[in-house]
Amino acid sequence: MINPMDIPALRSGMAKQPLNPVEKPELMELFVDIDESRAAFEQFQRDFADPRWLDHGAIVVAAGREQTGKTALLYRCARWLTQHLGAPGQQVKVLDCTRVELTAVTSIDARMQEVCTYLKDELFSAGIVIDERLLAAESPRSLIPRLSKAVTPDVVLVIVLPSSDDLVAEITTYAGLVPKRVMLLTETPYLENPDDARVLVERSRAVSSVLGLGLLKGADGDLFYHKRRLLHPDDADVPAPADGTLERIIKARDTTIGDLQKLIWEVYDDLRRRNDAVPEVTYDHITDYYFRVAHGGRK
Amino acid sequence: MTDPQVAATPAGEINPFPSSAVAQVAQIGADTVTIPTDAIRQATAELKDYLANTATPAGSFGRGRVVAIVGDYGSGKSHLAFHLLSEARAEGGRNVQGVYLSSPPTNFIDLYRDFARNLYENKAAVVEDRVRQMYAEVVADSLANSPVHEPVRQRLLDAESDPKELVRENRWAESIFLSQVQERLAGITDNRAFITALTLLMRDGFSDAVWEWFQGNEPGAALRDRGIVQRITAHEGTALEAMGVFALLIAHGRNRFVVVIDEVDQLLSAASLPTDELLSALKKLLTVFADAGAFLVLAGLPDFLNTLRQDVRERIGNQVHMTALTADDVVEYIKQRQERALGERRLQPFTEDTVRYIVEVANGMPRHIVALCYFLYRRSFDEGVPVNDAMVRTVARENLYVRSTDSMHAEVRRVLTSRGLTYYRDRYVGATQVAYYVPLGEISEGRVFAAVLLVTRTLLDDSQFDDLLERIAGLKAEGDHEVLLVVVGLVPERYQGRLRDALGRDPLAYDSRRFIEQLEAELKAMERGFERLADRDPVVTLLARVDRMGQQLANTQGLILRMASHLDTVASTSEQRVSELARQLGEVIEGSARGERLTTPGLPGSPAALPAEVAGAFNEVLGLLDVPRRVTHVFDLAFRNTEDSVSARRLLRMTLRHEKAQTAAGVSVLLQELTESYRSAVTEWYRDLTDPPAEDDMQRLKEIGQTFTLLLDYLPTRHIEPLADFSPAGEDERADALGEDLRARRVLQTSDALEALSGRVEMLLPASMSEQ
Repeated sequence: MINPMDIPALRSGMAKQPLNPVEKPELMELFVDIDESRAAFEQFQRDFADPRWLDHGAIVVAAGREQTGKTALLYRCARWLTQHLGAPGQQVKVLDCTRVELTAVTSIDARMQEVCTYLKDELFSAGIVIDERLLAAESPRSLIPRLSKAVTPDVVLVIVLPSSDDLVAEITTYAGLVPKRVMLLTETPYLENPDDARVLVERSRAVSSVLGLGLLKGADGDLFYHKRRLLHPDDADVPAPADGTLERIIKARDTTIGDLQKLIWEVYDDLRRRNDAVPEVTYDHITDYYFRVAHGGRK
Repeated sequence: MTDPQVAATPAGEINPFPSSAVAQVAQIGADTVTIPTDAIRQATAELKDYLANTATPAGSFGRGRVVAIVGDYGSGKSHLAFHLLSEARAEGGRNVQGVYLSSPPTNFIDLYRDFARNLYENKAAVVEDRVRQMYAEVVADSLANSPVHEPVRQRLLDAESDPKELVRENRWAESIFLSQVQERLAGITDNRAFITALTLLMRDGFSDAVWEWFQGNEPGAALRDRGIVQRITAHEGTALEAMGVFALLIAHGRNRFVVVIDEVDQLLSAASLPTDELLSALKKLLTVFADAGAFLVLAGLPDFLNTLRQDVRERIGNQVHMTALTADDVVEYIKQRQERALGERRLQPFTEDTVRYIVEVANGMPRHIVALCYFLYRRSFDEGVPVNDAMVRTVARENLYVRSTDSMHAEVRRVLTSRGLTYYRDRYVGATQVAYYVPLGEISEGRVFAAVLLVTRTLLDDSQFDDLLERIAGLKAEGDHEVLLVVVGLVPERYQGRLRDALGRDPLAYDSRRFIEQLEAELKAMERGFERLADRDPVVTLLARVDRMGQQLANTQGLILRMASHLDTVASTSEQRVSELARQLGEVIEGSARGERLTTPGLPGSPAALPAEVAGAFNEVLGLLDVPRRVTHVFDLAFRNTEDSVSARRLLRMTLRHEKAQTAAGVSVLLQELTESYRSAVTEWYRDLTDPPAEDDMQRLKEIGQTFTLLLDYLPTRHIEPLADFSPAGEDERADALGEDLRARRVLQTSDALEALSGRVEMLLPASMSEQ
């Protein structure tokens, strides 16, 4: 029996990395348009359908608690832009800075410094720098504003920044630096309300867009399960969740897409390991699983 | 009454009484004996009432208490305070926290630093625990409607699982939970900086930065980025507010918080604030703690309450007055101590009569009673006879107030010098020897008017008192001087009236906190008296004053020059030490290059060398005792051919022939050797540990300390004085009052450090091991 939640780079039901279709386009099929993420993605498509944003630059903020799929959404937006920029003769280059190792304890200045060092490396290896002086820039404050002039004119830079964590002032700083033909994609789990995030970027001269992600709604559970289940059409043994089970789970507490994925994966993994042939997965199965193994949050 | 430790003689005979009767919080333990006097009963009842009153809902104000413990030195205030803290811990377990603030701070900012340092040492148990509790509640609430999570929720509420870990493992929404923790904290304080900092304690990697700030330092970059920009210790106001926030947090909900501020009188007298501002700050402190639901104990000398404004006094609830111990109390104490230490509930070698006499001699003061019991037990054991009245007198004379006598002389010299007065020590006036003869000026040609100071210890019996009266009468008959009697110790009530009649003024009882002030006032009055007496030209009086002022100025300049030359000596001694260190380091490096193993693990990963704090404590004492090295330095100088060599040779000629200097050298060497041996024994103990120390190990460490303390008792530390400040730089001034003063201070410092050493080692060593 397969686990319907099995996706690449998954460990104990949790993704090691967010889905990144920029790097691996085949991952696009794993995206499930549950309510909020679809709305957020569609908003991005609307906001940037018109390529005139290129004249001002852009800052995009994904706001929402942990495990709501913010980073995956930003990658998805970046990938969409590579295909739908709408500016003939221009091509999108995505630079992913989320790998920069940052801790929340690091100060904003030091964090931005790290990002700057990483960006310079990426720009250099992409071979798109036309003004070498750019590589001498010592902080994002001097680097980012010069990007449009120092990089090949037919390149549009889309830079995915690391999460700003609770240091949301960092987002405002970045928003003040964006030049033409550059889009900064950033995120924070510390702002749930998109209006709070809008305040951070409203004074920027760049085009700004705030994408809010939130909790699952009752019906999202079945939608998510069935879309993933379809990826494994050949395995007939997989028992489906009983009617209303996932909805009940979702409504019992604040549940995110990450929570749900982990829960379903763990329950199916348990069934598989116990070799339990059940006709369907009920709420009792899930409760039983948690009572057995979830003491203290440890398996 | 205080009895932190029991001393064993080297032969193994146990002295059931503690050698140091000064209460130390770290040493209060199972073998402590507390006699339930009225004061102790009253304060304990108040505490129990506070602890029992857990029905008051969380956050409701006014459930805190402020209690004052007042009494003289050695009357057992600190002991009572510790007793309350240990009672609180025993009664309340995890929900009760206690903080003891000692080493009297000079202002509220220092008091805050002390408070924060205390919290930091127990940070996991106190502050973080409270925030974690809130965090656990928040996470548990989020699971309340989810039956599948019920076991997880229950474990959280029972504090069996750590919310921080649980959230991290499940990748739950830390941001949301922490913002809910912030909302809860907002119910306790509206100080945003504190809310942010406390919440950060629940995130990985922030603890150090947050505690740096809590301890009064500048906020680091990680905190500044989060809106925390001001030092807590920037003003007394912010420091007081911070204490309030901590108290509210720690005493939150069903929790209880007991805070002791000892020697509060010193805080009041030393604070830099103008009185009104100071009292308002104190009032705020009391309000803050009471509102926070804490149990605040203020311990101080009897008059501290009188210095408070009415509105401040009103904030203090119960006032507990320390009372003298009765003979019955002491009989019970002796029996209990012997039962604990020797397993036999007995009074011998004491009798009920000797106990009564001890109580009388010590005026019922617990600190002196405990000290007398210790020395009397030892003497009785050494001499093989039961304790008798004569032995009590001898022991009291030899041991009580010895330190005070040294300090008193140092202070007399300081006052006389700073007033520009010349004085003569141990001089005869007629047939009577006086401690100080201080000429104040000429009344007429050849007639000198003087102040004379008589010094006596506790008056123990009638014959001693009669002698004293005779001496006073003899002095009075001589005329042309005023007599001031300084008593170091006690004047039994029955002698007081007659003394006053004989002297024409009250005797001055030595009390280190007020003596300088009192002596100055007496001398000033005597100078005025002299000026009135000398019916003479005001210009001449004025000239006498100018003369004294000139002398004062010269003394000050002398002191400055002396300090400058001392700094030079310090520099040259430091250079020597640096080169010595470099040599030792060289040896170490060479050794390691040869592949020698420098450390032998005792505890896994721990070197055989003592932990830095403990090694530091030993080095500090050995540094003070380093007379031989100082002498060697002067000998070395004497053989050279420089300007210093001349003074070095002169200094040696002047010093070496005196027996006192030879004794000083001997005692210094013995003290040094004793300390070195103690250090070796402790190092060996440490090296032999294979696991964290068990109870047996701790007992052994304690015994090692007791042997040290016991042997220390037989070495008269004060005899090192003639060599205490031995260097050619001070040569010219060695004989004068300032030089004497510097040496006396150094001796006091050395003797304090020696006495505290075993206590420090026993406290620091286990603490530094638990940190490893």
